[in-house]
Amino acid sequence: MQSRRDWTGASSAENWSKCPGWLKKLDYCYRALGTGFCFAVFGIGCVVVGITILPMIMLCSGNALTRQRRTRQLASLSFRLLLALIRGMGLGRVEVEGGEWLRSAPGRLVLATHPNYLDAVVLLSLLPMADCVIKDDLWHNPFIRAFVIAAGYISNENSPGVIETCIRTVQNGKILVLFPEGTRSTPGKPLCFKRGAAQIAVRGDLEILPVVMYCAPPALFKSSKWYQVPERAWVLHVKIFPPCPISDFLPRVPLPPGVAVRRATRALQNFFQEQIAHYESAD
Amino acid sequence: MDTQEVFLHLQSTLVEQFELDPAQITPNARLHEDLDLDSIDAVDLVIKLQEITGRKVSHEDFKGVRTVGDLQRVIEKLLATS
Repeated sequence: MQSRRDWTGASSAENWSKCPGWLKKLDYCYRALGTGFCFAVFGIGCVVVGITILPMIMLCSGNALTRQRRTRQLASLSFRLLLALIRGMGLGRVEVEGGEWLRSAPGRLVLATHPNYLDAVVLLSLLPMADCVIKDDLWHNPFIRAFVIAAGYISNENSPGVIETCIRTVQNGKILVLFPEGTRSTPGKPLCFKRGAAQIAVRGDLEILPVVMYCAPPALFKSSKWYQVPERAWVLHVKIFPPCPISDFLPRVPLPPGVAVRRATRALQNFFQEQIAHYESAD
Repeated sequence: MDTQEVFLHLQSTLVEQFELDPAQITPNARLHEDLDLDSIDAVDLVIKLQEITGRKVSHEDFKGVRTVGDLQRVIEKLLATS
């Protein structure tokens, strides 16, 4: 068992290339099945927790805030267990850099890239009390719906009201996590930011906490199936940058809000793209 | 203001507020699909039009507006009722 782990989770790319072909194939099958197993654990875990612990939280929490706190703690703990399982099975691991900046997250807008399914899991395991904006279609997923409602996350129905809710959340000293791309990115393609994140940051004149996530080799990305695992175990790099005001991404002249939002969107996109390029060139 | 003046005014407002290319702004250009304006831009635009027309306008006035031409007609109507 130990030797398998050396070749997958903990091995370097050079060691891996020396492995014989049949062993790689065996390892690939193991990781495909292992990934399926983790998906099943996650799905069954959602159902089991959803009919046991979650109703208890709903019943025993006096008010909405207590319910939200407990649900988020539960989610964060479950995510940490899931990540430990994935790592223990040698499917992939998470490497965090700049973790000390997470302490400065309250009252700031956390902006992160979205390379795969797991980045959200990682971020919420690192920032258990964070608020986040959840895509409409996840609200319709019965597995996740109960948690999302109990945790008090924000839905992204496209209206100016969501922007105001998000600004207020951050100004009240809470942590808000947003993926400016709005959806998972496609590996190797340039990032494409929507304007929502900049709308919130610029109109609320907020400070942002950039989190660059990069998965090498790409795994669980948009359009990939669970059994399509990469050629070797993946590493999800999470790099947290020091917080800075959104005005650092804008020229020092007053601009109409619509123009400021567009410029900030481009500047943020360029910043994240440059960081991703560092990882891509190191691959 | 005549029709041409209203259009030029609207064009310069869109260019200033949303960094658009004046050539993109034709009467048939669709605000959402062609000019990439979102619902928050629409709120800004309504405030700006309030300044231009010098009267209070409500979001109701802009129901069904899809193109620059639609917007121009709404402004003309607002100006005519003054």
